[in-house]
Amino acid sequence: MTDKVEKDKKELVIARLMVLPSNRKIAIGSHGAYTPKELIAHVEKSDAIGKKVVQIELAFINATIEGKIYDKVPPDNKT
Amino acid sequence: MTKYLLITRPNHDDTTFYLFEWAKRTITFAKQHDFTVFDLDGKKANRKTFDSYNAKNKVNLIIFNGHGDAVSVTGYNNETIVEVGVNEVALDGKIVYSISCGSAMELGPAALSNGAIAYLGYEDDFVFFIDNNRAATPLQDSLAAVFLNHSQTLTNTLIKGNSVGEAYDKAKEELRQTFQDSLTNDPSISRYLWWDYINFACHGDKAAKV
Repeated sequence: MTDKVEKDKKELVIARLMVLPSNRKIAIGSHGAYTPKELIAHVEKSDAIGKKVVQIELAFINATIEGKIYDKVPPDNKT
Repeated sequence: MTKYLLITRPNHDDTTFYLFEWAKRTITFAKQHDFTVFDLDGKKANRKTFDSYNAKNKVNLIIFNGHGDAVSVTGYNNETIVEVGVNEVALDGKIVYSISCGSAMELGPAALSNGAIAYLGYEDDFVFFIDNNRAATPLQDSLAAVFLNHSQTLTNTLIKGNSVGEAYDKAKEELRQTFQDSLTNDPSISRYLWWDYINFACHGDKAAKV
């Protein structure tokens, strides 16, 4: 079950990355700047960069489910 | 009274090159507002040079551009400049804004415990997009601007003499609004803007001014 959930998460993130224009790069912290294709490879490998991209996606999904993305969240409230 | 800004601007990779270019606007703005600016650009963004300028001058505002993690900020070629348990006391008496990853999580609070007035930054990786067609001219990159504009708002507001809290609230609200707009205009970047928004943090004395 856990493996399937993890697999589903990766597939979701990969699907998101696949629609990004190829002329874009994403600079992720100290890791570097990557094309969507490079990030897909990292997600598939489940390495540190791949896990970070999944974490970013999940934070957004959770905030969407909880309705937080539509609120004017007080500046100090980290969600 | 003269005010002093110490700013680090390494430029050894794509990410730091973008921050290097963007920080030019901050430097110009600071000089227009009668700040003396110590610009540690490129290879000068190292521990030895930072310590020297910091020790010899009563620096009011420090802006770190570059990489980092929860416990440190780095300079050129990722040389550590300030680190928890090593030299966070170097930030004593300063207002600090770190445009780097993660340092607001632990270095920020540690700096406050060692006398820093306020520490603004990010509690996890800071992310932004680059338009590859503009990679050689970051200031023309309107995609990167979506992610970086709030940092300019923060520094400008501080430089103009507003409080830490006012600057942070203004920048945070700008980032929130940018995120909201992206949901309609460019949803593919929304999750990354949300990430920066929730990790953008302010510690310390919010009434303080530079």
